[in-house]
Amino acid sequence: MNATELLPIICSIALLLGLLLYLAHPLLVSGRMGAASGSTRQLFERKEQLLGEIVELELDRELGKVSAEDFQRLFAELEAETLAVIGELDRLNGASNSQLERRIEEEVAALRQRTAVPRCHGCGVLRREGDLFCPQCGASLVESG
Amino acid sequence: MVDIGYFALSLALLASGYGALASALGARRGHLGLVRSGENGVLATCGLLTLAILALWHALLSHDFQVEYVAENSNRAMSLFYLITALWGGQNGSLLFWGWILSIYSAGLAALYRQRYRELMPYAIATLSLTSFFFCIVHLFAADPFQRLPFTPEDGRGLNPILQHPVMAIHPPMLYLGMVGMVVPFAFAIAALLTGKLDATWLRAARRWMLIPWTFLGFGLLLGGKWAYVELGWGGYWAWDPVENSSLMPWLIATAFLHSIMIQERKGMLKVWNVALAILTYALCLFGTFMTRSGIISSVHAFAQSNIGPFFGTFLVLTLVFSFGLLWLRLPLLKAENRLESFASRETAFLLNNWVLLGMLFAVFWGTVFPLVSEALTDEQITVGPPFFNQVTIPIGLVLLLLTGAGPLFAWRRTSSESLRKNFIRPVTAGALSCGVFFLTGIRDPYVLLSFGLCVFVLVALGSEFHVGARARMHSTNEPYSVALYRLCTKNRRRYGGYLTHLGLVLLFAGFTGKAFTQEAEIVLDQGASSQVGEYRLTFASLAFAENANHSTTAAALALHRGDQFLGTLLPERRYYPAFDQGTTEVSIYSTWREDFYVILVGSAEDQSAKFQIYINPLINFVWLGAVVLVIGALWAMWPTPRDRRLARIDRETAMDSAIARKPRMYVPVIAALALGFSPVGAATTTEIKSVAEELVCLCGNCPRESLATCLCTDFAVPERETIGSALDQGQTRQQIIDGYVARFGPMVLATPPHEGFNLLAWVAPFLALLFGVALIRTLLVRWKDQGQAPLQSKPQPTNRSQDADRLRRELDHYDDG
Repeated sequence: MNATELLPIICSIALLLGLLLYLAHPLLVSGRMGAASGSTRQLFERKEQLLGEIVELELDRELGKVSAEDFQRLFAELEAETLAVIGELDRLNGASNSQLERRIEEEVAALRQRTAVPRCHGCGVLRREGDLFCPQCGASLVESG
Repeated sequence: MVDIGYFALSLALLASGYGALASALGARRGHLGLVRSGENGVLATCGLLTLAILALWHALLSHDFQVEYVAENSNRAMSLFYLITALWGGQNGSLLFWGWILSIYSAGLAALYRQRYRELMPYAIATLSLTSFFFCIVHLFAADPFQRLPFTPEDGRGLNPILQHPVMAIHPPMLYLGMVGMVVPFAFAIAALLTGKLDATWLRAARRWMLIPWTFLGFGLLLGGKWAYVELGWGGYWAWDPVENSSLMPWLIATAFLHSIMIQERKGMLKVWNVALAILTYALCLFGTFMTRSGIISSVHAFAQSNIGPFFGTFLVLTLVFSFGLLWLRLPLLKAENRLESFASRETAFLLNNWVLLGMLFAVFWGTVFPLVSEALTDEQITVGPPFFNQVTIPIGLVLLLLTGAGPLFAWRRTSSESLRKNFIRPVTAGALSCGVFFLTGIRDPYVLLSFGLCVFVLVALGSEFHVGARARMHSTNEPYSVALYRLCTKNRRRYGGYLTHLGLVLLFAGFTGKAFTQEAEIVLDQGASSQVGEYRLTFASLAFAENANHSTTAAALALHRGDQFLGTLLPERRYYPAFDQGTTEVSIYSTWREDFYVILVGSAEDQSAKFQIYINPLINFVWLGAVVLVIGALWAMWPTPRDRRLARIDRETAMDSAIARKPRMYVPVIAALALGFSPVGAATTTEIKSVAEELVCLCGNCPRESLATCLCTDFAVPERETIGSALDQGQTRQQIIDGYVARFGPMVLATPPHEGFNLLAWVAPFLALLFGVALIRTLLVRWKDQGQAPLQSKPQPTNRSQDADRLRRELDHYDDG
């Protein structure tokens, strides 16, 4: 067998192996699909849809397709529902926002601990790297490192 | 390289089969690894099929004639350009191309929506993979593009001569992109049925993926028309050929889908209907492929026939049974949520739109399959030709045109009669006035008058949508008119994109109607002689012959004048391809917006005289312009809006599904190339002959039963037309001549089924279907209306009014700003 006859076989084997590896490797990463909670999302979509309907309704009004009377009635209906959805979203977001804020504070605190900014332990002023005495109060900085 | 191509195909079979299994299993078990692995299967299938395609291109370009496909569809004389397009010039290659496009769609979906529609995606991917799996079976076992011959020929046969045209480089890919792409909305429909998530979420995904192939398919259809116009040499662009019909049908039903989903997105109605439309659209794509490829109906596209019919037939039946079975099981989940407030609403307009589109679909479908039905039941071969389709679809098309303009004038939910009067009065007056003007200019054909009148009606109706909207915006924002108009269209992309496609449709109809004024003439000229055709004077200057390896050419040079003004030189050709024993006509066209002057060289005699067929086609360029506007409108409507981006972001952030949808503003309807149409007016005896010949079809055996009036074959159509001429001269009536033909050749020589016996059904069925549709819609509307008697809305809770109004205003201001 010479090289030209071997080449297709080698290529084919490489292709097959490549394919198997490609198909198999996500299997190693096990995990579950996200479960459905999605009420925020559903509300968000509903809000988008309602806002879209209001935009449409206003355009239809401008184009003279809806009478003033119908417009007021339909607008009031849409407005009420939209505000209800927005209120609900605000409530959910508020909850998740306060959670988020708490987490951020925790993280910031943790970060501070790790990479503490060099300060004078006497007066608290920021000091430069390598200073032996505080430029503000003159306290020795050697031990505080 | 060929071996690698074949091996890649085998691996693609493996990868797609695995992809289907892994995705479905992963989705059922909620196992993310399996789902991801299934996605990789789809991506790998695409990569492998790309490799196979490259291998076939390599074989074509390197003239590897041992490969049967290469030997059949290419030869050494072909230019690089046609060698590349030869990939889809024959059966097996075009099927591979089809499968490749399918894999690109699937891979594109898998890659783009990795984080979106989490619940639907695995099932959609499984459906797509399964389809790819089926195609791989066909590639490997029924239509192997890498099949080798036991010997290596010196040279190949070459590409079918009628396919050697630049438009052919893009027409098939466009059509395939259209037909194949319809599988994606189908996959989402199946995913929705399997998961039971039948709210509007799947529609949101399906809408965009339907718009893309819809645009491709529409454009591909019109490119096909353009090709037929310049290459087939009979002066028209649409012949109701079964293959044309089978790509028009999915387009019609996809148009219906794009409209009806708006009702579900907004009102939660028509859920079953929308799922059924998505399934049927895809099924019609398969059906079209089945019909084209199986050769059960003769067609101009006969170059693409083989034994894969049974494969597609089986797959089609399985798909239909599975999909509708699933739909049946899910019926309880598909109850309508909402109700109809008023008959005078856009909801009703959409229902009517669906009714007309489906009616037209049925008419086309019925005409296409009726010869088979009739032959099976009465054992009699008949032909259903263009006159049938024209007579049935023109009235339906005109109703559609009416809706194109009337639909947008209705508001959602309720349109007061006062606003209706106000909105309709101008367009209706303009339409009626223009009808009157056209009548005064001497047009008497009621269809033509109606069509032009409706075109004006729609133009005015849509024009005022643009104008009034822009003016209102101008007042409220102090923008200059042009800026206001532009902003209006960008802020309401879907609505105004839809209106643009409606305008494209009007242009198309204007072009179709122009067909009524086609003048035609058949003239014989000696060299140096000239002849007057309409306003034009045609002078036959010279005749030339040439030959190359591929074909021999006869070309005539003609000088064209209007009055004393020299307009140009026309060079019609006739080519002969010895490898195929086939001739082609290369027409020459002098083109203006008003009309095309279209010359065909029919043949030349030994004394250097030549025979020409001439068509003057008014308004035809509006058809091509309409197509371009249609595509621009569709692009405008599908362009992502800030809102799409917000929703996509939310999708990614929560990586979750379930939703209430958005409502697209696509307000597209249809075309339906109402081509041919309308009775021609023109010169004396030629017209008389043609009017008889139009009732008959050519039986030369080489053409796909083309109309006897237009076929250019010299062994049947041309002499028979002369026979008809002399019969007319002898004083025979039209009916006597036609009866004579039926006596000689049987009823199949008739272009349309005779109005009697079983064949009456061909004519009656489409209109019965329309009537049935009216009854159905009426029942539905009344039922929805009755449900609407219930109080509409719970009372709004008392809240802080001005603060709330401010909040709402702020949200609305941000609505379009991302």
